[in-house]
Amino acid sequence: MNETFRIRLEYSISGMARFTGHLDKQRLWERTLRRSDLPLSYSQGYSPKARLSLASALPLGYTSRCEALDFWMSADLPDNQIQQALEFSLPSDIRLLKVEHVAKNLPAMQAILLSSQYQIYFNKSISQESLQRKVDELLNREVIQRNRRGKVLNLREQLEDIQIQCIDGQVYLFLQMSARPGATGRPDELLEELGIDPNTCLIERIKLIY
Amino acid sequence: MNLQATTSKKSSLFERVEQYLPQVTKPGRYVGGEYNQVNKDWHAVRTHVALIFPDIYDIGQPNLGLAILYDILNRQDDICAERAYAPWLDMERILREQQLPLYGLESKRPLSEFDILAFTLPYEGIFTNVLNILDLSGLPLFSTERDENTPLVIAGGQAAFNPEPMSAFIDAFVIGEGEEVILEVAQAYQTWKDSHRSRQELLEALADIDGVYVPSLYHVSYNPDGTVAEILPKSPQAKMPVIKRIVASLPEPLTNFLVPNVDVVHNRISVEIMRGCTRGCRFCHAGMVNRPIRERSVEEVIQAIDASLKATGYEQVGLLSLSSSDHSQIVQIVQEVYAHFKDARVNVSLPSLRIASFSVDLMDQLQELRPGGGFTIAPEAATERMRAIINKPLDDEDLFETVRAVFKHGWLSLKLYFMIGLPEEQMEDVQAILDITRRIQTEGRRIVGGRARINVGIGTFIPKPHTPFQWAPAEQPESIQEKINLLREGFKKTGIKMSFNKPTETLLEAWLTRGDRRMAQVIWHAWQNGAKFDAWSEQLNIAAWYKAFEEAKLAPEFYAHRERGLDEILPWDHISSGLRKSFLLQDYKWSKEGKTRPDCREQCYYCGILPTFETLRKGDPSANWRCP
Repeated sequence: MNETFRIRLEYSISGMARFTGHLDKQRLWERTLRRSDLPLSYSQGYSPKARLSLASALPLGYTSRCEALDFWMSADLPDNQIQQALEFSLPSDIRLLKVEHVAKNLPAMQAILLSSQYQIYFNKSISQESLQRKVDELLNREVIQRNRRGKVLNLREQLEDIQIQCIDGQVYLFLQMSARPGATGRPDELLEELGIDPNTCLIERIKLIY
Repeated sequence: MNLQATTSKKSSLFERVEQYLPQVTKPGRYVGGEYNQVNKDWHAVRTHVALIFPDIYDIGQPNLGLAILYDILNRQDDICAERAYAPWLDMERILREQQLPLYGLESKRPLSEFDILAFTLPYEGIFTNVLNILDLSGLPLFSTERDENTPLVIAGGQAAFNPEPMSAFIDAFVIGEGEEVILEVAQAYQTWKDSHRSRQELLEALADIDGVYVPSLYHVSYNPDGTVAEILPKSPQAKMPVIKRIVASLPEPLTNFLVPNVDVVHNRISVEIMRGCTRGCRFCHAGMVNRPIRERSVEEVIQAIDASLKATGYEQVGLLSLSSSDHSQIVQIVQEVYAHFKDARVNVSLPSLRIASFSVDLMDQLQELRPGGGFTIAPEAATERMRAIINKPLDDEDLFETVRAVFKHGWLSLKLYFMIGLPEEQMEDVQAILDITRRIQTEGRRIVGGRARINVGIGTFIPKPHTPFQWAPAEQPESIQEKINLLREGFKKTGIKMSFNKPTETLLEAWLTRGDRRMAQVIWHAWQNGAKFDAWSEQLNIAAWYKAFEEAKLAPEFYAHRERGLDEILPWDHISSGLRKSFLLQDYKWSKEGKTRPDCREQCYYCGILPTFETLRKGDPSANWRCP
């Protein structure tokens, strides 16, 4: 009866789903899991919640091809059956990429996450040369001081990799930023430092690194 | 993934809108894509209807009425129904700056491309938003300025029972319950569209439908003193009066609710267990205009909850009615709900309970299904004299017994609702609110000690059309303020929390709910002066309204603070809720005598519902209205 099974999901966020914030996404997943009729494990207490844990908050407006969450079930089912139940229950613009059982004693993904990789697409056309110049200037700065909700931080320390890519004639920016607890680099802040309005970009998370 | 590919399918309008969404608060309000959303091929259907709640998504999305119509319309192969809401100020600024029109959330097409725009008007504070939405859609505000190429603009909902103030902006109103008539309206529209006839002929065809009011087909004249002299139909289709539509028995309950992807005011499934109320509280618009009673069976309630939980994944259920404890099967409903869903990890709320220890027992039976938080009761008035005037009779002893039951059953928090500004109200009656609340607090503390929490909500009475108090004046804001001050002072340092509405907010409602056709000019000027979101306390711009009255050359006091003559033609007299005016008048006179009218399930008082809807009742063997 007390046996639980830990299931890890990987999923993508596209289209309209990118406008659902982190807390709302948690609620969205809880309802999706409830709709799926899978044997969920619930928290104790007055208003029990399905046990689930998102790997990392995705900022509002970002798409992703690499989100992940763990949830717990009180009875076991094969992966493909879980996948089927969930696919039927998911809202449009969230796609399941992978379903797997994981060991119950693994640490929370949130706790061991190191970095996030992003690909940035520009709505307003930008030449590769001017972007390169902006990036070079940025990399020459030892300190990129930012004020985030009253806290001063050095964004330069959270930037792990930055590259300009050209795919099919389209210019992209590739970023890898720290995603450790308490040291999460935000691509929109970095874009501002590059002199680019983040609202004119589409930012997609492409990989979580543990 | 190619990011460009994800946007290419969307309309080019939305591609432009989407760029700006990261700049607004809660962009999820403007994108649709909820689970259970219905997406139809625009070109595969004949009639496109936009269902519009003229307040923000957060408030409008949970609305049960529009959700029901969305479901009914989308079940038709040749109709698609989409949704739209009022954009919040930040989004409106962007739409205006970038000259982007408001759009339907499903197809993302401009509202101007729809065939029918259907607004719900649940309260008056939403009126200027209707104008704003039409304007944001690039449509003419006035009905007379629309032609064959502009959408038909219709409206319904509780505030449509006095359609006159909005009559200049709405082509046709649907009075009463929309479940059946909405399809008749859509059908009439389709027939008209195929016929390529004039807009006037569409309006006449609509007026021919029972329950549909087309204001332009009536002429209203006024006496020198400003009262209505005559309301005359101008075409053979225009009925006198227009009688509200009702369904003989409640249709199958909605179960495939849309599940929003962002937080909204009510995150829950709503199951209507009963429509109508027989209590006859004289201030209560809903209780008067929603007669007769129609109950849902126990089985249907259980099935509806079960199916909706599966379809939505929601964790909360609201059992809705005007007076839950009056459902003839309420005990069975509560028992069955508990038996079926005790392991489903859901909360079930049962609001609108009568003040009786029986209600406390009911709530108690839900045990762990009960939502956390407090118990709520609405005595409305603190003295037995006032309660007789408003016809909500209640002995103090029963009130205290209920209060004791609440605390004894383990609730720690009790919310009480009272009204001020009631007809015949004296300062003693207001003082009595203080006294009785303090005594209730004492009772609570005696039972559960210092943990007892008392909250008081103070509402201001507004005489509403189609109620026995429709002739009564609304109290002046200055004396309302005095009463509020008395209460605020009195509740200081008692630990009792009091909430109330600003007198200006209630003033606006008093003007609008009791207005005639000329009020349309006031609404238009107020909107021109910048009024919108009037129901939002911090947005209400009362100066814009006073200026509007001046510009329209009308006196606000005339509408709000005048006792209407008993023989006066009221601006809404050509709209019938099924109740006889003489019944309402008798009840008004009784209120002045302090005479109560018992619950009419015991004895019929000939309110008018039975003769008005006799044929309908006889035609449906399952119609049990609990009329004796």
